[in-house]
Amino acid sequence: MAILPQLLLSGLALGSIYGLVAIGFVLIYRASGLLNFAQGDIYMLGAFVGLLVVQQLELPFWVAFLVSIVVVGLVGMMIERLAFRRLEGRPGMGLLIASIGVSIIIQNSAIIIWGADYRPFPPLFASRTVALWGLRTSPQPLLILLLATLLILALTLFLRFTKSGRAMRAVAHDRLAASLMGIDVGRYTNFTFGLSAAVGAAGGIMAAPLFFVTPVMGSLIVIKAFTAGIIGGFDSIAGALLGGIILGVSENLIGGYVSSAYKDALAFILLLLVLLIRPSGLLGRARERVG
Amino acid sequence: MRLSRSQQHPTVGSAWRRRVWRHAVWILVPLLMILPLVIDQHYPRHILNVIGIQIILALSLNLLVGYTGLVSVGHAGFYAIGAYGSTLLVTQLGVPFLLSALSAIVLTGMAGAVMSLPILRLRESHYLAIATLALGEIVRIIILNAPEVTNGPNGIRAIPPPNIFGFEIATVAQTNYFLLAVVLLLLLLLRRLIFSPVGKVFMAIREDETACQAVGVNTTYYKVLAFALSAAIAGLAGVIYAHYIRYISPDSFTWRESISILTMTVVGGLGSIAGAVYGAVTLVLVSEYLRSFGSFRFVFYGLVLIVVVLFSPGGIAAGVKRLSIWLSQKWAQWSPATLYEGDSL
Repeated sequence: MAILPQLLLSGLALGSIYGLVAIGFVLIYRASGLLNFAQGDIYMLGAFVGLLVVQQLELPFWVAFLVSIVVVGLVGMMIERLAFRRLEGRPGMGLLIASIGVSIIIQNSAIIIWGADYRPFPPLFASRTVALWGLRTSPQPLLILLLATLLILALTLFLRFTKSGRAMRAVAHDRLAASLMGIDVGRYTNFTFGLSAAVGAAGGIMAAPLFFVTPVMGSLIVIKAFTAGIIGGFDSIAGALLGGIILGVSENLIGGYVSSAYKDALAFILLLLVLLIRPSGLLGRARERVG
Repeated sequence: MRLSRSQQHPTVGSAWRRRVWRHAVWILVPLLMILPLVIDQHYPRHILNVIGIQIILALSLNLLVGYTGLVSVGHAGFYAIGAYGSTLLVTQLGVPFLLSALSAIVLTGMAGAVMSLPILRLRESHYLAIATLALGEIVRIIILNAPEVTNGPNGIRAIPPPNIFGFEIATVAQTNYFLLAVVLLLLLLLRRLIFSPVGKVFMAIREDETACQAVGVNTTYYKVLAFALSAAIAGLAGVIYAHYIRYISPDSFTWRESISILTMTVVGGLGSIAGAVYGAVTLVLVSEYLRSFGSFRFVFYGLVLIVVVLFSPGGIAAGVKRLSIWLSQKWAQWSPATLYEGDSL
């Protein structure tokens, strides 16, 4: 049976989408301590913007990809400015509840504007399969893997080697120390929200050709990306990506060999297992012992 | 600290407010008792019942989020366990209502305790939010995928109304009084709980968990207890809902329901029993008013959530408190009792 390599390949593609959304989670979480509930709706916005560019403007996929990343990134910065700025650094659950509010607003505005239907994304490739080392497979997972690899590479290089990237990491590490070093904490927090939204949007537009585009597509991905983050440890980009890939591959294997009814339940079960056995995640440091 | 100035230093104001409350209760309760008779129509009576059930849910979540400082976005799960638990006991096993209600409530409490054990390892409230969201959805997925027991997505129809020692609470107006009694009882019990040593520990955990551990409090025990109590109260709401609406399906217990419970609690005022009542009354009335607007209703919910956390973190309850403090200061200026106390304010 040649089903296993195919399941692995599409699992990897799915997992890298989960990983991208989880990276968006981790970036914001490290910068402001917020677990952004609206991340799933950002992902949905990314898919919708891409779909509109491809369908209404009839531009090629790669243009839609770039437009979607930029537009949704700006939306992310706007959301931070309007809803979160005043609450950052305040104790309590204000930020979390505000992000739930943002999530409800984006999702239902999308339903009002675009309707609640499931819209198909036009296929990216004319040919349905390609041969790869004697394996016949659909080209879409390959493209997704390629795009995800490029994006994560670019993101890592940006965060490591540019001045803005280093400033963002400094803010994520210690807000007070960063501001003492002359970094404009508010501004770089805002950039981080934008960057996180851009990564989330990339996940959304990459997922769009695999699934249907619908305003409620963000609800399930929040839980899955969160699970991916928890598996990886919520500390690093590598962890989030690893968590996403573990989840994506195991979901596909369960769906292929056991039953597709249990596919969506797997995320929850993995989440609880990791919390029970290793709450700090695979690559995470155990925080309790440090403090 | 969420204590207001008047609570930290008992002044003329707080005594005055307590006196007003005491009188208000004697006026409000009889008013509520004749209200269902005055509004002799089916629909407003039904809305009263909806408000009653939502008050129970808001009280349940407020105990957890407002008093203990633990977030839950999965309360629809406990609501569902209560509803399905009692329904299945009555319809499948023929258990009498009181016994089935009681067992469903206890069962939900136990489920709350068991489910809280793994997720309480998450010390950050933001983690807890999504973990509870996942738990709530697990409950719904299980109900959806066990059609032999729960009839799956089609739900269960023709649930018998509450039957207490042979007396059936079948009409809407009868349910009005049943709910009024349950809500008043619950308010009294919760008040006792909050001012008991256990309630103080809950609030201490909310303020500073590490400090609690430092003075020897087994915080895990109290957090699990808070989860269990909160779940049991949500289960109670589920029991009443199932036997009142007489039809339940997994659609009634999605994560949107959890979010609307959270909205009520936050808008009403975290850490305030009266706040849960304000929140439930306000949001049920507003959402009934906006019912014909479809998705705009939820956009409005979202806006209200953000506006409240941005501009009035204490919700409606804080506004009411500020108003009453202001009134009491006005009162104190003119009250003969305080004229001799000098500038005690």
